[in-house]
Amino acid sequence: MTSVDSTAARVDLGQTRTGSWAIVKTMVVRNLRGIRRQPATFIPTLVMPIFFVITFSGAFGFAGAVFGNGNALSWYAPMAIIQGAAFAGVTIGFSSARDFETGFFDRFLLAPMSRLTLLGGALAAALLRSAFTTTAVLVVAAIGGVAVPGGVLGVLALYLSALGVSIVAALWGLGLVYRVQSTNVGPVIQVGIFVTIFLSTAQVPIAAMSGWLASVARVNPMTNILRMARAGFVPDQIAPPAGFGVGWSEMWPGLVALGALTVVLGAFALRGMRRLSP
Amino acid sequence: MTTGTATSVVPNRPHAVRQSLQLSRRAVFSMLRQPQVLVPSLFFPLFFCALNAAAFDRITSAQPAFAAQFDSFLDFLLPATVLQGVLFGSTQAGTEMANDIEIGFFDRLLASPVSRTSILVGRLAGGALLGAAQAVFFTVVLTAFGANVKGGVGAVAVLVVVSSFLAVGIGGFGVTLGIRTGSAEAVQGAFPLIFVLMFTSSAFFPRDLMSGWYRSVATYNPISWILEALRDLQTLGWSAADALVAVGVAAALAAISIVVALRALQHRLRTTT
Repeated sequence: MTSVDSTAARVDLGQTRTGSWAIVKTMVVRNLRGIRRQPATFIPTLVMPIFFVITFSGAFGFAGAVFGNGNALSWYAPMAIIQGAAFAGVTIGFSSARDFETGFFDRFLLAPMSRLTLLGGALAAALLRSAFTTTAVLVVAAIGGVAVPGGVLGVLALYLSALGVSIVAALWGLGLVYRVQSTNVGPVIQVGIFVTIFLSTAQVPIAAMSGWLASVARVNPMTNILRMARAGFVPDQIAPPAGFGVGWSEMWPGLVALGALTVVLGAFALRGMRRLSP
Repeated sequence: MTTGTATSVVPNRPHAVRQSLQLSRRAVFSMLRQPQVLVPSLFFPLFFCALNAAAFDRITSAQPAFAAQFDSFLDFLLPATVLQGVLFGSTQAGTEMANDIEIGFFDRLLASPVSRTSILVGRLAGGALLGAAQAVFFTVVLTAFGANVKGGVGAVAVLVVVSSFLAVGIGGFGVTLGIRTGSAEAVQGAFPLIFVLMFTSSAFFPRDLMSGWYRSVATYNPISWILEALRDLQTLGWSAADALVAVGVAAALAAISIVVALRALQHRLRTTT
């Protein structure tokens, strides 16, 4: 009888694959409920990318030729989506910081479950949030008349980039929050993401930049991620594929950048988490 | 004896101007003591300026309408950078007012023989001083990096005056929100509105190159009126008409904002005392 009880407990506490999945699911649901309870924490991550799409494409409509296909919206919509995904990721860090301040996170740490499960739950919530913002901004861009000559593959490349960026941003935010354990770290998280995105080809292609920015953008991994995100929207300016379509040459640098950032920031977040004690 | 008692009971009220000066001094010192609050309003405008100057210089210089007035995108960005810093910094007045309410300092002020108007004026005057200092700082830094001010000292003086008025204007709306809500978080939550106000003006993008509804919105945004008058002063040389437009619009915004804030203060005094 005792062994049956302990097995049941093991399953519930996430020591098995089924138990881990249940905890991840519970954490995601809790995170989504947080949006309903505190919409102010989520709305800006949705509104700001839409605002950027509208303002940038409205302001630089005259310079369509610079972006490769005569349409500024095709250039700025993927950028805004990546930005929305990044902010969807960092909000996971913010909600974890609030959990630290309210003492709720200590309860997680006291529970006999794998800490990887804890991280997995947070990342799953980031993925879901970014999928939502990506779809919303894409719908607004479609209403605004964005063309996707790369077709379904182009949209998939965009979603892949956005989801990857949300994971990277969440790992960055969580890594800092696990160390500082306070919402005061919020500006540092945001500035890191903001600067990384804007010091890339977020606003204009490298060929249109002047001075120091071009040098920085060339080595910024976000440039390759944006290149992958835009693969189905604008012709690639570095290695244009024969005809218009999503070429492997546009994809692999972005995938490598996302993979490398995930490994580095994943290690950063895991090290921070392992040091935690309730 | 009676006279003596009366003298000791009736408080020795300093002049309202002196009270305002003391409170504005407190406002300035409270900002200086929090560099973490002050630094973003200096760092972000400079970051955006450096970024946008490098990103958009080639695209805009290729446009004849733009190249006719501006030597570089940095020239175009100088007034916008100043105003961006001022707008970002001026929300702090509202946050500080809300903080005073949250910690009970506001109630202590009300219990003291301080003129009610001085409470407001002191807070906004501190913001105006900060705005003027920001204008000088950004002008010096951007000039060092190659921005031109063809309007000379007169144009810089107008920029400083406009910055002060705008700090009062935007700070006044922040103070109104602070008084109404008593929550610093609510005032900070209104920060994106400042962002929207800037981005829907001709702050970062030349209006001549905009099209459609976006251009219409920028045309009716008072921030565009101020910026374009300042840009003409800066790049075309001194013009009394441009100076009048820039100072007039900013002063009108400040006046409206003060009236709204005073009403919010009177409303709070009626409902809480």
